Amino acid sequence: MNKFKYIMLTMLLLLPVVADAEPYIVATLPALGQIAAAVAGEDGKVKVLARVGQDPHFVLPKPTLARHLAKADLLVTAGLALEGGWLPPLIALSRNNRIRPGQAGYVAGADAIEVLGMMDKVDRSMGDVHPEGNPHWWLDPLRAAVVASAIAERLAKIDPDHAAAYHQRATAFGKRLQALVNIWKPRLAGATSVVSYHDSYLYFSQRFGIPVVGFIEPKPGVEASTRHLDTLLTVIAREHVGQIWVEPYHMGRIVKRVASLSGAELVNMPDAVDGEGADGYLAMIESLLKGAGVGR
Amino acid sequence: MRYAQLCIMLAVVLWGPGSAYAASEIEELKIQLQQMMKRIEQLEQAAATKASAESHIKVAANPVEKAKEPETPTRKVVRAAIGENSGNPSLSLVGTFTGQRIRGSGGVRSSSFLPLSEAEIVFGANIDPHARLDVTVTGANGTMAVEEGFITANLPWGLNLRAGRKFLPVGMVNEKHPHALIYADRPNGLVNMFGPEIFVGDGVLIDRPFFVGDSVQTLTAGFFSTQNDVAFDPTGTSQYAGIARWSGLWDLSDAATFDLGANYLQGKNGIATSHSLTRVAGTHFALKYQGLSQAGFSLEGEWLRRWQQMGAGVTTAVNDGSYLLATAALDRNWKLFSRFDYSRLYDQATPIRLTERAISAGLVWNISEFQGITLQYKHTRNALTAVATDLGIAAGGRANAWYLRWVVAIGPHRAHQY
Repeated sequence: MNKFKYIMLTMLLLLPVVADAEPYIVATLPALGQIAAAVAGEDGKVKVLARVGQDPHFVLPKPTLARHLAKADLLVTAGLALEGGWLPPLIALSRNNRIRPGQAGYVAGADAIEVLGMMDKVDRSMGDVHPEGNPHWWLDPLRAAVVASAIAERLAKIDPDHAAAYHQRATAFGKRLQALVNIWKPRLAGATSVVSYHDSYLYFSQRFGIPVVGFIEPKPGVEASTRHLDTLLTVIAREHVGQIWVEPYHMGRIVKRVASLSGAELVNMPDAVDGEGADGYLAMIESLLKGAGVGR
Repeated sequence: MRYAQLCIMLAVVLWGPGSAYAASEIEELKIQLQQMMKRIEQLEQAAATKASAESHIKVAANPVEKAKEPETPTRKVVRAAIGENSGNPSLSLVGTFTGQRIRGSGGVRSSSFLPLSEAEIVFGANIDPHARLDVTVTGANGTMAVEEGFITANLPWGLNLRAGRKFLPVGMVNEKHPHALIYADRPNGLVNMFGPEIFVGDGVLIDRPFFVGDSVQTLTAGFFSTQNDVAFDPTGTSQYAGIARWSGLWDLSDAATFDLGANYLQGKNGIATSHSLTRVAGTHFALKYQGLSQAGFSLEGEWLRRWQQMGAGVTTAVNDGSYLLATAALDRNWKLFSRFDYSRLYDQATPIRLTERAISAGLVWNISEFQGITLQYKHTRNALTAVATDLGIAAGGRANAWYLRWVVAIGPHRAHQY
């Protein structure tokens, strides 16, 4: 009889844990984690694999990261092979079939949005290009809103009890982003041309109508030669480039030298900032907008 | 169909009400028709695009403005760039060009300038939902051979099975392909332990990772046959052996990890008919740090001891092989490294202790993600037999070696082991 009591007590103690089991969401990048958290709210737990300030192309595939994937109900990625160099071995190590590509627990943001920068004829002489398209879509707030809705759809299937809440939060998040775009788009109208280190700001610059006329990298993933930098300086002068945009992990001697020689303003444009959920994501976009709006 | 409709409309317009229209009116109507045709084409294109998009993706309704820009080419259907599909495996080719210049005691001189020392063709794909096949065919010194070829299958209880030919998980280096190593040579300690080639076995390996706190602990056990002629049978005849290994990786911080492990293997060596076992025990560690700018450092090392029985009544040869490697990444493209190799042979019969030491230093330039150049210098003293043979000098001699290695990779190559 005593044994029966213990079993019943244990089951009663475990019941709330089981009943309140919230979806465990793993996002590859900080901004994706913030978008996911904006949708999941208090109904889900979010873990991010890459660090703020880390180049999303070159995250070290530490096997310890697989421990998060092992228990994930949903994996949110950028897609377009951005994480192709480090995520597949971690998914394999996690042995979690729920989050493999093509499964219900796998969301690639790029699958939900209109992709820019795709190329039909690609080879490696063009550098480390992404043939399916430019993967830096999360810097466009409106595409982020679309992906938030896609995440809400998927969470609603995984956790139907909170489906309405997920959709509600995604809608509210989208409205906040739309309002942000409505405020900033006119402010940045007529902005002068910019140069960036890598082709990371394609979606952002198109959303706000800021022309990017050149890159510090001669080709994606390739170090700049002096010849390329000479040409770039000519372009900067000809196009009256006002700013050079650089991610924190690309800030270095070369970009500072180009800024110094050209007179263009060097602006730190982070693709991730610290912060939780919707507020964190909005802080990143506002940081980019303020950076782009400096001196305008 | 559209053109037929337009012809009928044109006929009706021209000949229906009467044929007394002035030429100018006819021209005007033609222009209107052309405009209508253009408009029809535009509407058809728009309808086709919409149908295609709706059939391939699901975008939830959102109260925000359409996230779509026409300025650059766009696409909603994402095709696989990895090159692996249901019909074809992924295929990659890694070319290693290694030149060397050796000056050794006894007037030994040899040199070569960037020959294609190894071409590695890697095929890999899922066989079905249960298993995957990876095959590496290597061409070196004019011959092609299957360097690795194994099936990976997920078993119940979190077990992973690898069956086939595999680089054996002994220490830290042996399981890695040479092009993935920062240095151009093979550490002398491993050359003395298993010979200049990678220690390979044909058999089964079962491993089980455990996620414990902030760490991953992996237990591995296996049974294999090997034709290794340094640690096992000098005639190259297949011998059977078993292996057990533990490896743990801890997160010290977001940017740093610590790796510690140990392994043991044992099998008959074929040197004599009885009392001819080879046993190898060892341990390894690695401390790695990488900052956000991709600058960082690592310190790693491994030590292996081999007991090689020579038969009943004959003494056992004991051989130690070890190295300590320090690397510094200046940024994503430039790295420096230095390595100290230590080997010792202790023969109980003589008893003589022979000690070999080597020091290396090198510079690595990763031109892009797909090619890198390594320049390395190595000084070896009191070379033991296996290293001396590899360097082309007499045992006990010394040598200065320069290596220049250029590694290139094309095709979708899988991520290297951390």
